[in-house]
Amino acid sequence: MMVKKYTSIVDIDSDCVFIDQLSTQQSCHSDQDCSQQRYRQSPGKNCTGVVKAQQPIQRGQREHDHRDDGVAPAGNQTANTGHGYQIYNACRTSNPSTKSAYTGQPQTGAHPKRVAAQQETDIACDQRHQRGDREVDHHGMQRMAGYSRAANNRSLSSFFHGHFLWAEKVVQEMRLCIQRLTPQWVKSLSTPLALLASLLLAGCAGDKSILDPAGQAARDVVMIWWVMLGFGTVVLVLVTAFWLYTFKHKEVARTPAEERKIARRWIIGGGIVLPVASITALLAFGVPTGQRLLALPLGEPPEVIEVIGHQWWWEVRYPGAEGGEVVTSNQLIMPAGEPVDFHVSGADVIHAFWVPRLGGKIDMIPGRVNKIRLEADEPAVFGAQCAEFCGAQHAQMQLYVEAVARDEYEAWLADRQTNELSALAENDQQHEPAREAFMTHCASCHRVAGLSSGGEGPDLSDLGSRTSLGAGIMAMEEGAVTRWLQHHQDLKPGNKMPPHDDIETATLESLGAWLETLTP
Amino acid sequence: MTTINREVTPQGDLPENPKRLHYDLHEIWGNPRGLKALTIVNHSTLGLRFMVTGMAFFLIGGLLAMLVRTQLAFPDQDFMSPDIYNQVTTMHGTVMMFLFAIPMLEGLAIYMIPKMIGARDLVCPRLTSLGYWCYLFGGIILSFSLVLEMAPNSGWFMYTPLSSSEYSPGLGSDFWLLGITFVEISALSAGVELVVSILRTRTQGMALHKMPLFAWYILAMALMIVVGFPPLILGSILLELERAVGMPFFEVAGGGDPILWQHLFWLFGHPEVYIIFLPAAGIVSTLIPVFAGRPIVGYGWVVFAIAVTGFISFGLWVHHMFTVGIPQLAQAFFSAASMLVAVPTAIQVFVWLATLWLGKPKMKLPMLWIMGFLIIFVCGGLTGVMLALVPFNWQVHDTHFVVAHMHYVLVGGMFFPLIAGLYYWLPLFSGRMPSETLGKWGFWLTFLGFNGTFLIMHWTGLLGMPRRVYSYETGMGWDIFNLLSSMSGFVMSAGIAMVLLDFTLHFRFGKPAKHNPWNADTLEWANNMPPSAYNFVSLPSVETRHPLWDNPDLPRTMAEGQHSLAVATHGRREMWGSDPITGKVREIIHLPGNSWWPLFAAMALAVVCISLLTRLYPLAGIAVVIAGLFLLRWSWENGAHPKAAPDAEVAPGDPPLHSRTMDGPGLWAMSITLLANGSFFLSYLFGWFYLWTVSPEWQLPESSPLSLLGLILAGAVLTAGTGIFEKLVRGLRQGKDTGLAVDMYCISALGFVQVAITLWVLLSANLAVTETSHDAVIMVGLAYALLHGGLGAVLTLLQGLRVGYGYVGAHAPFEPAVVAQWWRYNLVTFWILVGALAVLPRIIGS
Repeated sequence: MMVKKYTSIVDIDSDCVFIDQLSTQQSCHSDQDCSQQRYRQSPGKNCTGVVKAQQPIQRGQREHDHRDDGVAPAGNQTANTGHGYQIYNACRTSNPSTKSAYTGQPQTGAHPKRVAAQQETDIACDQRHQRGDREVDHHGMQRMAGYSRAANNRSLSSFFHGHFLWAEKVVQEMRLCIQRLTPQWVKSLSTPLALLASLLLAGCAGDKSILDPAGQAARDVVMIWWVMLGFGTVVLVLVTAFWLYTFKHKEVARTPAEERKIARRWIIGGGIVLPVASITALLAFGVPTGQRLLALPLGEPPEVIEVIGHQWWWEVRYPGAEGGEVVTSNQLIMPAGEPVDFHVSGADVIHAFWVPRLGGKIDMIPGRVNKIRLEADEPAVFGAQCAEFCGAQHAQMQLYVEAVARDEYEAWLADRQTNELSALAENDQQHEPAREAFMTHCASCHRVAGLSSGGEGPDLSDLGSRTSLGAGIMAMEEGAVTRWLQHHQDLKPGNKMPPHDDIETATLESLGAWLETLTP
Repeated sequence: MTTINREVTPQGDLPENPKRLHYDLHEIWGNPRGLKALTIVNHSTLGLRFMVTGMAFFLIGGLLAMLVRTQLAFPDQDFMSPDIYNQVTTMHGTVMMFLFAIPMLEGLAIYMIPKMIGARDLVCPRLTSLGYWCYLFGGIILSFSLVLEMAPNSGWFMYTPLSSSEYSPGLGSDFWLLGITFVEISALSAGVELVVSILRTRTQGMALHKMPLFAWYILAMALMIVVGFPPLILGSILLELERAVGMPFFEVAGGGDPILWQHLFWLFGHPEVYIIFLPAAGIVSTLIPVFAGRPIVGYGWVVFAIAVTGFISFGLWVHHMFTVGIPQLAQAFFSAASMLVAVPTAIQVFVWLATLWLGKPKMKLPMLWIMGFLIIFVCGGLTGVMLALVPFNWQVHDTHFVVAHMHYVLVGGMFFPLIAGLYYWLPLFSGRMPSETLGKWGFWLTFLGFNGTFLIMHWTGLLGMPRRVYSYETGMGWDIFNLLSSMSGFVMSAGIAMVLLDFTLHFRFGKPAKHNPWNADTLEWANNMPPSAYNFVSLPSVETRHPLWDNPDLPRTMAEGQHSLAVATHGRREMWGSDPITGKVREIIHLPGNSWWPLFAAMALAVVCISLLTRLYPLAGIAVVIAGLFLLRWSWENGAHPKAAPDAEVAPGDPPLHSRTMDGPGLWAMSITLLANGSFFLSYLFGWFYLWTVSPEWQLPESSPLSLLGLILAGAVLTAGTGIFEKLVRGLRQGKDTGLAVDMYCISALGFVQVAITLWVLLSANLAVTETSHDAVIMVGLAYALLHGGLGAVLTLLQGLRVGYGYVGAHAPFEPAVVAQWWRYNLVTFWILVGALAVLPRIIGS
């Protein structure tokens, strides 16, 4: 279980959020069951793998599925529950035919239904419910990954939801204000407003979610965010309320001197005291947080990992690895539970390095090395994506990030020492033709340790062990490399690898088969 | 709709004499029809043209936005290919910022300012016209790239190296750089003349502190344009030079630095936000007192807030670059400064609130839009303060959270007040009232659609969705929010369509408006509705900030010609030139009439732009010369020229014509232009020192390639020329003009000598401009000096000729004083260049 299918973990998680939200108050037990069952099941490795692999090819169909869900949100409860079960079964049986149900993300249908069916007064109750679900959910998710989450994380999550409750009230207040002022027909829009508010309450999870922090730096930022949101909402509501009130309040006769006094109070109180006080508080609160991300000297020098952005893939180097530098591409394995310094740069244009659940981003600029310090609480898998617009395939520049325990990390590095990888590349005589083809067609741009040293494209020395191909464009599985070699310009238009129309299919197949064996 | 029929509407109850006066004034000021409509320089017509053109570009930008939302409505869509999507997002930002927001607000200011300050036109009418044509042609060239599917695709801030010739080999980036620079001519020219008009052409008695607040806002906006745009113009020129010629300003290997582009861009880009926001806030500050039925409270506070905003906004640009890896201390400074800008903004919000609190506000249609503005803008301001906090910024920078914030600020801070203002002034434009029903539907759909789109988008960003991705995969929790954003986006467009429909229909079907329908206090409502080409028959003396509240009879007495300058017999277009502070009348400004030259010059500049795009450099060179000739020909028709004011007679008791004094508004126009020029020059120096100190691979050569002796010689010649010029101007001030023409020729000759020496220094330096950024930057600096020296020499030569023709002399001493400023400026910048490029490297480098 060195390299987990992170997509499957998250997908199952979001599915379960969906199931939870469907449940009415009476069906608490079944929720519990659901997560229990989920927990018993090992994450369906093949299941999502297959789904991912077919994504690009079945694009049209997938869109269609989505539209179905989006356009007919009423999708009645039973039907949706059915979906849920299908998903569930899909994971259990690894049946690719249920893919459409999986990608459907039935949340689209589920939310409107729930809100429409409930009275406003039920919302708070429902939220409590949801909060419970969410905690269960975290458990499920974490255990599936094989680890349990720190307790403070749970209390944090209830803290967020406390704010949600409160935010909901604010939305209601605003709605009342607006209702008083507006004609009848506008009032009919209040339901969508309630819907909107409750949608915001939907999951904060997702493997790129800032709101689901997995490291102290990111957690601090989220904390700051919720406080700022609360404070900002109070300011907005008060200003709006005062403003609206001026249209209603009775006229009072005042002398010019009184008027001046009142005006000065407003201007100095609201225009100077309020912002200055808020800014001071914010800076006092925020500046120390920023320190955490700086690569300041530590007693024991932290692990250094170099990340270099290319159009449109990631080069990752481990200069401190015992036995010599280790190089890989499009995957970043880091030790958990300790600070790690990332030294980032750009090879061609400006990119940005960002692991949302761990903390802030930093630009990767040609000719410079920027540093950022991140720390993952515990072993887990995170999504990451280039965050500075870098050209045609900016959207498809994904990075697989995994934090593992220290010993696993060292084992992983040891497996990737040049001599280990060279042995891997050269074993098994049956792949000799593939190696020759590689030397002819690929070696000038790609490195495979022991065979070639090209640096234009990603290093392929441990390709077989990666979770995905093309910087996240498709999942790694049997036959994936061949498919990528054949269709890469359709799968990721504009990528810098020339099309392989001039190479025979059999050669590509042998190349693909060989590259997949490069699994340390 | 671009030209409105401006026939004089004689008012029945006027005595015979005033009616005559209307006809006479119309004879002088009225707009021609047919092909000659292209020569119009009138500010009302051009203001409307700006606004209508702006709306057309707004529709294009809006269409692009809808394409984006369609693509993002569902995960994994391939409605548009990645390249087309990137073109669409880039052009959406570019069109909205450069072709809609700024020109639209400039158009409104161009239309309103003279009316509000009791003038008859802007002070440089031909410049208004040039600005409009540059905007129109530049906009067309830029949008045409979309049709060719060659539109820029590196994002609206064109970060290099992505926008460099290596990573964007097509014409896209060139379209952007050249097109935007072309359009910026229009912004700058409007900026210059708005500043001068506000400072120098207010009606009698309108001291600075009696000016309508809107004029204060526009004054700040115009000054900010003048100072804020040149850094981007410099950046665009440098990047285009890098793309076309290979001068490595931003390329690390050649000693350049891509971050320099970001600095230059945001040095412009951040003030730009306030350039857009301030006029909109000006609309709010104009409307609120009118609908509250009382003067604004804290006029002084508002002026203070405007000034502070203007200053602080130039110290914030780095907050767009917090993730670049700027030193910690600098980040703390820019973070605090960014938050501080909340103070002047909060002051304004609470001034508005207090005004409503103390007044009797009425919820009319324009106020509904102001209401929407308040909610959205306060929300955007709050997220703005959040973004100024560095750790939070590092998380949400370049995510959809920022996209949402930016739209809250720009749509809330610009679009909503703009629509409020348009609804408010529509009766003035057309004499008719808009429809309440359509207007309310339009507002609610826009308001709800907007919040539906962008409130949700904050959340999408927090869930980790980056900006500018052409697609996303399912399973991140983003799907439903994107779908909702897209659906709301279409609701918003329906609302906007309704508003535009209302605007269009009202010109034909609106109920006729009564005079001053909102009971406003400012002078623009003393016009006819729609206004006459000359605005006012006679120019009133203003004692307070609320002329129409104090004297509701004022429009009638003005129309009857009971106030000043109600004379048309001389055939000149005249208005007051007043003291910039007290508003006391100092001279009569006579304005040029309709002219082909602005159109011709703009056409020649368009040829320059297109030939640079298509890399036909010889043609570009020829077109530059032709454009220059047109502009000089235009400047020929000034002062005592037969087409300007050959006859200096004025009515008894009136002050002299400005061209017969040493005090005309042209002095101010030149000063403000030089302010813009100085901002350009400072940006250049910033670039030189930035590369020198920060660029990773920068190398100073062992010895400076420039001949110090040659430069000092050139500087000495320039100093001599400037000294003689100063003496001449002093003489003219005392009424002496003996030997003026010969002296002018001599000074001009000195100018040419200086240019020749500088050119020799440049050529003998053997600069490797395509190899090192050091040499490339020096090249640009010397080219700057050559251009300024050459232009100074040519202008002086023309002055000599004009003396010969009798257009300049002791009787008309004004123009040499204007040209002398150019020489002074050139002298200062030349010596600074010598110091920075040739002396300093010798001291520090060795």
